Amino acid sequence: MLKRWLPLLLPCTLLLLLCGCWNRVEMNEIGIVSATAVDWIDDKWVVSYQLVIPQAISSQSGSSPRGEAPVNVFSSEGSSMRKAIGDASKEMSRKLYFSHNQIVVVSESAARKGISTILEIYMRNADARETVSMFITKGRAREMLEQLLPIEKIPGNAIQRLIENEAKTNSLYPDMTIYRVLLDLLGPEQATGIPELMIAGSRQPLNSMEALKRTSNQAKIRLGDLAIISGDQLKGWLSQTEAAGLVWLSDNVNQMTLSFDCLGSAQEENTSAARVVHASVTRKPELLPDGRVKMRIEVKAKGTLLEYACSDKKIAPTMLQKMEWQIAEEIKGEMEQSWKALQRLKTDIVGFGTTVYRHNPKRWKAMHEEWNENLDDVVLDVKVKFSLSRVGFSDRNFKEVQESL
Amino acid sequence: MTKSNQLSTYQLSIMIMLFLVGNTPLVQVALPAQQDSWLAYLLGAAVSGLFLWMLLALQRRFPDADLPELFRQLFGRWLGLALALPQGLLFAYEASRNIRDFSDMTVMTILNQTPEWSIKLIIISLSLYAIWGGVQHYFRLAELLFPIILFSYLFLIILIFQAGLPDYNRLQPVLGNGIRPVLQAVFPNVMAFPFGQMTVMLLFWKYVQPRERLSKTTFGAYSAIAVFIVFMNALILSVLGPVLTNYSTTPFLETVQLIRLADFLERLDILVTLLLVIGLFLKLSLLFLASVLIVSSLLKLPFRVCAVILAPIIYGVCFLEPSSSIHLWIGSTIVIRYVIPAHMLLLALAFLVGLWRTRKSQGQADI
Repeated sequence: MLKRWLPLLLPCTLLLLLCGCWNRVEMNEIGIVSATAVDWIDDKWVVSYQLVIPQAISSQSGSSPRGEAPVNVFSSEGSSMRKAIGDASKEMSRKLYFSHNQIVVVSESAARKGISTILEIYMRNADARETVSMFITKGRAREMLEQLLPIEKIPGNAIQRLIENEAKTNSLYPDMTIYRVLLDLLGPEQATGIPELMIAGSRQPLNSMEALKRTSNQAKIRLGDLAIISGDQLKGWLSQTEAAGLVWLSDNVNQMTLSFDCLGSAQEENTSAARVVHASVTRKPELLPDGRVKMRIEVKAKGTLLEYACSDKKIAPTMLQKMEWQIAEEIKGEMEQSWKALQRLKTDIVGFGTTVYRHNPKRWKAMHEEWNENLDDVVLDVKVKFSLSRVGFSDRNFKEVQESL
Repeated sequence: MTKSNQLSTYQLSIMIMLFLVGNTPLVQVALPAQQDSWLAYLLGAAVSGLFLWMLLALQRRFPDADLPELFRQLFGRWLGLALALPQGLLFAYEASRNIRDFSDMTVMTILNQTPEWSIKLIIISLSLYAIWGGVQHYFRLAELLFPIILFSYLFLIILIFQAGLPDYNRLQPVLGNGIRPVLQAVFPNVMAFPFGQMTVMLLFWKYVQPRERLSKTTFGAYSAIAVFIVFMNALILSVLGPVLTNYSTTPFLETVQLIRLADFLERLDILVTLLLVIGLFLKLSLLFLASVLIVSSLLKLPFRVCAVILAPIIYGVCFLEPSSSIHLWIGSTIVIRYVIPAHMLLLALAFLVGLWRTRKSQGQADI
């Protein structure tokens, strides 16, 4: 009995080994995308991809002795974005693979048209992940993908690391992943800020390996202004100085370096510097009798002195107090400046509306429709307390020591 | 009763936990409650706990009976058959819905090129194989898979916290829209799913030894898993916020996709898929087993014959819905809103009849 069935059973068991082959994806059949860019040109979506060339970045061939570029950039266009991505097969020998996509750069024209299409794609499709960092650029988004970054091999990864590093050590801009953009735009205020990616310096792009052979480059990629998105459209820009207070207002401070004035010396501005190592912000909305909202913001920050350019004598407790006050004033000034800028643009990207909603959901229902319009009516009440816990390894200004000899 | 068909209290509690957790992270039933949906789950678990107490009281009155036997004793032979058989078919239908969920999810996440008929065929065959050995064999399978599920959930929860994703302010304002939306979510949605599905245990309680600890074990496992479900719900809400949680069809998957730790602990969605696959499989096989037990006992057919007859029917039924959206729509607007609550009502009625019968027989004994 068994002998008769064995010849039939054996091949069937062997078939089991083929199970994994049905849905196989071979490494050399896919093109790994490390960054995407979205442009809106002539009423069409133009999607650009930065494709990693595995041979050029593999460690075996060193840092590519043949001088091959590590990535290749190309675009495809269509009336819907996913159609444009589908059309990429017309010019690409490999299937595009988006799971390792790190950043998405949106051009100003596309952002003015609306980023809801991009967000929609990220929510609907499993291969597009919400941890991708988003940027807006003033020129063509595709140009950002063409730039090479010194030191790093894959520009897409490098740019994401750039914003992560910035958010962690200087906290001017947060790393706006698709997830955070979604949370903000679906939040009570329906507004968010997304950092700008720009090419600084001359317009001589870094798009060939030749450019990386020099020790300094004429142009480089850097973070620029902050794009303010309201609803799903670009509403305006904040300069870096205008945006400086936003981290405090929105309670997103990690670490940052601040510069401040010497007391009483008006000739040189912001010549000393301190580093914020820890900060806590409490935000409390308060309803005023006339129906307006007053935002009470209390900042408590701790830091160390990094640079001291004032010609005072040895640092004494009274002086420390003055210095702390000076820094606190600096922070307060930044916050007020940023808040004015937001009032000008009529967009609340710091989440004041959310705090009102959480404290008083009933009142919020009545005012949420016109919240962004009536931003001028919100009264800001800022209290900042800064304490210098350390002054570093020296307690005097160098010049002062020199003169005292 | 043969010894080989006994279940220990440990096996029972594991089965209850895995059955309830099953596809719960996949299905959202507390949408109207927004950021209070975790409260809705808490309340739903409490309300269904009452229902569970009723079921257990019924079981205590007829300790050796399972569901079809119970209905025969309560309603007589023919009415009992007429009331019990639809329940068997309902379990079979729910099993087939779970197969559909299973294949929809695997096609969306990991096996996007594999035809659905093959996935469904493999699942129903595996399920048939799993219940082939009978009740005790199947419960042992759950025992075997329990550690995998437990540690995967623990691992994911630790990572979600490590990645700094939860923000408890997102759960505020608590009861911001009043209690009404929460009650709307509880009745009948959360009450029916997942907690109302405990009815299936009526088929298995009679095998549990020792009998005295049956209620205690059931309630213990039920409360533990209810707390876990409430916790997971609050955790997901605190990461995604109420709006994004509702926007996403699979919030749990969405949450885990956000984990990025130390540049290498990311893209863990495969672990979620695995968890849901195991959870769904255990759930649908138990429902399948329950329906086979009911049908075989009512129609006096051998267990395995019934299983072989029901498997192709279940397989066929999951092709009836033309698309996954219609499948989800039927699930949320018909099955959870009407079918399961109706089933619960029927059993509540059985409880009342049982109560009345015992009263009457006690009264007669007194005379």
